[in-house]
Amino acid sequence: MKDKSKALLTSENIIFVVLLLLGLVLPTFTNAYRLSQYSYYYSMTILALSITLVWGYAGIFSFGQAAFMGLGAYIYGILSIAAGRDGFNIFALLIAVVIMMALGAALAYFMFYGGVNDVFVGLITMCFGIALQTFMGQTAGEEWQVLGVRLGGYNGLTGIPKISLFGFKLGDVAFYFFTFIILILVYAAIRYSKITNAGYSLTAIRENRSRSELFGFDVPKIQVIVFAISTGLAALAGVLYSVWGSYIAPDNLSMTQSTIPVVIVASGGRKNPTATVLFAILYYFLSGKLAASGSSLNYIILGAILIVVLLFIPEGLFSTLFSKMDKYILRRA
Amino acid sequence: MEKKILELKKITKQFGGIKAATDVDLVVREGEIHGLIGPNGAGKTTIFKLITGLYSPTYGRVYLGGKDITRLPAHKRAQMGLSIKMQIPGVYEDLTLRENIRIAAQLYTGKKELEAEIDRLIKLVKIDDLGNPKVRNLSHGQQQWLEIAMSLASHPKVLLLDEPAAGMGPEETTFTAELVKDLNKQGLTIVFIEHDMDFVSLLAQNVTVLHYGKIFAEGDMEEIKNNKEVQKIYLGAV
Repeated sequence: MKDKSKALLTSENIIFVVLLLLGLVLPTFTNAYRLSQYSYYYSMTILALSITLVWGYAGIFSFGQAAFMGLGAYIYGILSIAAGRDGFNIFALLIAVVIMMALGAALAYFMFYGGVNDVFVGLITMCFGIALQTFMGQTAGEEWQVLGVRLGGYNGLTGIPKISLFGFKLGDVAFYFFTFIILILVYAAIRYSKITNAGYSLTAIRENRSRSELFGFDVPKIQVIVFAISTGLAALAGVLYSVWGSYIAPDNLSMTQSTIPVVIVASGGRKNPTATVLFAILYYFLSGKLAASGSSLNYIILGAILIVVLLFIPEGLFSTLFSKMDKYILRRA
Repeated sequence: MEKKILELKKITKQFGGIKAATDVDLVVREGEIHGLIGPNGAGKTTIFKLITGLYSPTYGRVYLGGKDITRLPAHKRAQMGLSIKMQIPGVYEDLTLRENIRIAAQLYTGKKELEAEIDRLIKLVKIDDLGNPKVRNLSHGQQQWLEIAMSLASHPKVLLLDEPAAGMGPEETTFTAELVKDLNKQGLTIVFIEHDMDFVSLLAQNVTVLHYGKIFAEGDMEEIKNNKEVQKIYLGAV
């Protein structure tokens, strides 16, 4: 029993509990506007976690997460605007995620059963994003309507409605908790999955694909499944983002938008969801402060951190810090 | 005669204009230790890749336990009981010893029995004194034994060993030979590739000699040892 309680006292768990408590009490000492900013940070953290799963766990480098996120948001926007009933929107969210998982599975099927891997996956997903952004950008005309909703070209979709649960429209505080709970669930699932058979399958194919095949793992099938789940998570992040800002536009699908979460995950520690969450929330918090002063300094700082991390602590800033802290805790215990 | 467990029929593999294997017929019988030998570039590893499914043959067929597995993907063959220890240790270096075995075993053992199965496999290859270090920190020989443990996790019918004693010192080589004999005594059919004729004569009951991708000679150990032509190709005369 004592051993068990000791095993729970890891730096990751401590950080998690601290973040959880901070997240729970935050609404009591901040105003509604600031609080809603956190809904945005949490959505983007879910996007970063989708990369932790597909890249950090399974070794599949996807550069298209922002595109999947954006497309998920478009689908939610179209469905919810077309339906025009608040009660339907939670289903619009689910439908968007499911459609995007199917799309992710289809894309992954052609890549992984076609033997495409490594850097080429990065290139294909990047091209997918660029093509999608370009396409959505030219949908300004009257003729570009889906279910009677105009796609709006570079202006994107505006007036995307809020989500309602049990007949109540989620206002700032409720939506804050909505995104917070989803983030916790996604984080917990990804973190727990690491020690399951599924998680070990991902580790196996990340570390050595052909060897794992010879141990009996159906490598392309595992790759398709994890890619589809990751696409679904990106879409979920996109829906939350579009509900938060009530709009989605082709700019959200850009290369820059796809790069930032990749850099966040790489800098924090790509195999470690706790590191990803911590780094993502800190980054978006700080960049929010910097953006308020009207500069792009956040990109420069993020880039500088990435270079330092990749040169000196390739496993990532926080995952390295966590393992150092754990050694310290073990020595003290 | 024991029944055939693994059989290659007229297996040919062509890479562009180069034939890495030509019309290779090979029969491995249940319970034997079969050596596959030949000079560098004779096509031994190619044959292993054709058996495991990493390569598909230009023509010819592969049978496992009488079933045609020529068109099956590698992972299906592995699940059917074909296991391999690769030449360069195919272990997961960044994971611990037990995690390595867990990955190899999880498809074949229920969750509740996994820990016990890991213990069994570690004991089976006699590396239970190593503890649970990161595999990167193990010696070359220890990694080879670990990989043998991992390839046993699927309860294979046939175990392929690609140069099991490569890069080992004399003591480690003896340990490996004993280990292979032990496993064979427990009923496992073993096919191995080796350069070192001393090691081959320690182990093999039957031997197939490959040369330039073709079968050069076949027979029991004594016949091959006394075969003048085989001696010649090993001395580079042919």
